[in-house]
Amino acid sequence: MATSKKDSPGYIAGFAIGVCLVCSLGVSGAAIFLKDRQTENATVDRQKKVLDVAGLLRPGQNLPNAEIQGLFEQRLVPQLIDLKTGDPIAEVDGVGPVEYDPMKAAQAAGLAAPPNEAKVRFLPTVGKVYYLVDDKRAVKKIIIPVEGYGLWGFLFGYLAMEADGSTISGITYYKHAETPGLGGEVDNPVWKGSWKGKKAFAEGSDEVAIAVVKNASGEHQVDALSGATITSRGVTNMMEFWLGENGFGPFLAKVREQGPPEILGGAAAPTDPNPGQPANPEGT
Amino acid sequence: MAKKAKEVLLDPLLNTNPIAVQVLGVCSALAVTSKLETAIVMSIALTVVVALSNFSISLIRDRIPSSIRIIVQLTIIASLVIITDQVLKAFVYDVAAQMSVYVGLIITNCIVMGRAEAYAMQNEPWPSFIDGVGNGLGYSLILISVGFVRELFGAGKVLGITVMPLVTDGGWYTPNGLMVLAPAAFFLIAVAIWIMRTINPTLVEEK
Repeated sequence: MATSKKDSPGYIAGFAIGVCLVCSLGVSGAAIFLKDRQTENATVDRQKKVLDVAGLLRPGQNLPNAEIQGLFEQRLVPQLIDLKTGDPIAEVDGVGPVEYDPMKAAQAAGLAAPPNEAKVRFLPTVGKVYYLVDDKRAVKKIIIPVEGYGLWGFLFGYLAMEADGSTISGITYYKHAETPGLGGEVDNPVWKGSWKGKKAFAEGSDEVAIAVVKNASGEHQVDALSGATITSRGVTNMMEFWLGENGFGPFLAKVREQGPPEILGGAAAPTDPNPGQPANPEGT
Repeated sequence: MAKKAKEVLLDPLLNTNPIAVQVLGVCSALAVTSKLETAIVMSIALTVVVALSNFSISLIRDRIPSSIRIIVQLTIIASLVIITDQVLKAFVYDVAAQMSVYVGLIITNCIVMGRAEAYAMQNEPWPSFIDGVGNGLGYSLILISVGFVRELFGAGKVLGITVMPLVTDGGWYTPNGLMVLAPAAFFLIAVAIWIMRTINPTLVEEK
């Protein structure tokens, strides 16, 4: 009797629905309950990566979320850049640099990227960089976002450059799905450190020269990750794309010609008694 | 059938270890053991999932229609895994990011289904819970040992703290590159199986 009742289609369907209801309640409850914490974690994680690439964090240093956010707001200034002309702009359709998300905007507007090796699908017309500023609000480093396809999926990260627009000071990835121990070594501090001081562009030209290759030598090459040829190639491709003419190439070319950029508007900046910072003498 | 709670808890550590004796759940044991930290978090996550899935499945075991029992078990396990993943992302974001897909893959871990089908469907909730904890610990024992050895010899570190300074950082230790690759976990698990069978010859199948 009990068995026959348990095997009736009605009971089975009812039981299945009941189990699904209870389980979905649990899952959605957890999702809603933990969402704020998770988004905060994700935001702070990205801020941490920017701070890290800017050289403000020691490797392995762990700060509480609030301190990370404080440091980020104090030392980093987001700036919108018109990618075509390379000129800084104040806002896009009334959205300021803090809230504006270039990649989301490009995706929403369906702005397809030109065919590229990095397999970037959408390309915004306006990009966002971060300036690392000192206490006089002078730009010390420029941090540009990079993304591109590796072996298993897209790698998302940041490249930090000195204010001369050519010398690389660091690289970091905040999201990728490369094989741990192989391509995943893009997170290796030693490898990341090997980028410091490399030159992104060929001498006296706008051609992207930085490349990740085996047996690297010279100021334009970074050693490839062993056992991860495709990831290494992917990193090279994304450098070529984002530093090239479709990416931040025009902007960086202007920085190299005209010296370090200044903060546009400087709304949050304390009044500077000595405007017109002298151009970085090292800048080409 | 009337095994004492202590036996239910401790048997899976050595005598019926899910990885080394039953050879289940090896996939994740390869993937997350290149560092000790991820191995530990994975162990905790799996132990929690097995214990809770055993408990909840055992609670409703008499009501589950046998024709859909596997999918019911999977639904419960999958829900628990998603919740675990959410909790990890909310509280230990860095580690969760390193473990990427492998937390989600607990769903397909044979240990969880295996215990649900083999134990929780026939036993009371409380012993089932203990059985889940025991098997989780058995899994953890192997995972953490493998993670320890791989991180120590692969990177000269334990829990990210340098024990043997690497040549590349000006120390003396040349890391063993094999250790960071997945096959190393195979070798280490094989060694663990060998040791367990030597200690306890009853585990060796008759020829």
